[in-house]
Amino acid sequence: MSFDAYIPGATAVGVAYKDGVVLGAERRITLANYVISKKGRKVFRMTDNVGAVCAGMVADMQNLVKEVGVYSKLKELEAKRQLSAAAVAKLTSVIMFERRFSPLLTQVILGGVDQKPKVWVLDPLGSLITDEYASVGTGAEMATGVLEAGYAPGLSEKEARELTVSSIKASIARDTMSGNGIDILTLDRQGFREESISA
Amino acid sequence: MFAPSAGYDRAITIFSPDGRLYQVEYALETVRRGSLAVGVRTDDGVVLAVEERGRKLQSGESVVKMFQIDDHIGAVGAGYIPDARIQVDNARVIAQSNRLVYDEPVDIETVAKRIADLNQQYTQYAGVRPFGVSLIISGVDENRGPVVFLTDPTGAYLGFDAIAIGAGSDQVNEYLEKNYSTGLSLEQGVTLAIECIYLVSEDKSSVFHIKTAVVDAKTKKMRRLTEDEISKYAAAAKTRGGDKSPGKGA
Repeated sequence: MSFDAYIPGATAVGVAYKDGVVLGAERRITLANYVISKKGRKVFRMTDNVGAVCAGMVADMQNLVKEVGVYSKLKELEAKRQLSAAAVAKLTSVIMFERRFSPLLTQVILGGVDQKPKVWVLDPLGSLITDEYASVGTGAEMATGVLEAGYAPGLSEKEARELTVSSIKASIARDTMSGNGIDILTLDRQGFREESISA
Repeated sequence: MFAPSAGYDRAITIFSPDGRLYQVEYALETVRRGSLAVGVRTDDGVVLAVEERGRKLQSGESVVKMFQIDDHIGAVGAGYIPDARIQVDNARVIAQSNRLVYDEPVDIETVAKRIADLNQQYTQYAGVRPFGVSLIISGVDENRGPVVFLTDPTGAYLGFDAIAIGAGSDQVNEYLEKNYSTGLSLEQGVTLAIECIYLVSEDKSSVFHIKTAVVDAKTKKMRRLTEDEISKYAAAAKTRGGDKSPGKGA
């Protein structure tokens, strides 16, 4: 079996709504065809004002999120102010591109609220593209179908959350590497809220 | 202290015949001449306070002698403050590395020890001078709760219930010995710290030259007090302490 089979699949989704961002992912972690964990966390509070959701190698995403958190903190202590979500996204991009020749094997979606709520999607080399919604992972195509049909600008939090959940459910139905429930991280100007649902 | 050193104070790697490291002692003198810095430990949290004698036209917001190392750790310095800035940069990296490797807020004693280790290195290598600053590193951690540590140019570090460094610190430490008790609340700790500053400051009425921060044991987060809050505590400090002119005692 090629090495690719050992890279865990996933479905990770981010949707920006009127006042914030919803990030979601399912919870299955696979080693080729074996399910190592049904409770793997792929959503992260990366800094006080930026959330992340990732698909790919679990070690890579865990270390990336920690590293970005730590470097952001050092910068914030030096500057005596909070970094904007866009600055944190750029920092993530730079940290990933530094590893151009031995990349972190993970796709990343970031969410945060600066002037407006925004979502960023990054590939393993750190390309930085901003958008209103995004999905990554082995289940991305199925999720995108649902997102494309259901997204409209100015969604409410409830609508954004439901869209996120139904897009991931669609992937869980047809992607064997995605499954075992959904973790949701909602972020607005007041802070983070988390929930987990079975699916 | 100012006895003739017969040339033993140039390269600091050398001990003098009477067993002293003159450069390190001179660095301690720099600390003694810095403006007052105070740290007080209570069961409800820790207090850090400094006197900042700013220059005319200096921007009111700039705070030079008080630093945040991490969410749960603050520091104040006395002596050559640019050295303090660099030590704080090092301390910040130490604190974040700890989070990166152990997923935990660093123990304050660990930060104090590592900074002290750096201080010691600069007493043992040629071509460098010691850091000319003592830091009071203070905060709240899971290991010991509220703690106050002092690092100095010799490379030593010590834990204290209450400590003052800088100009007038001998007088202030005596005052603390008489007036500190382990049962103080955090508010009483703040009042005590501000009393210490008024004890030796030329200005015993305003508050703009006093900078104070607390790390509350409940929130474990460092918070600088606003000028309004400091005014409130300063009023209590003035009534509690009475007349603070030298010679009238505590």
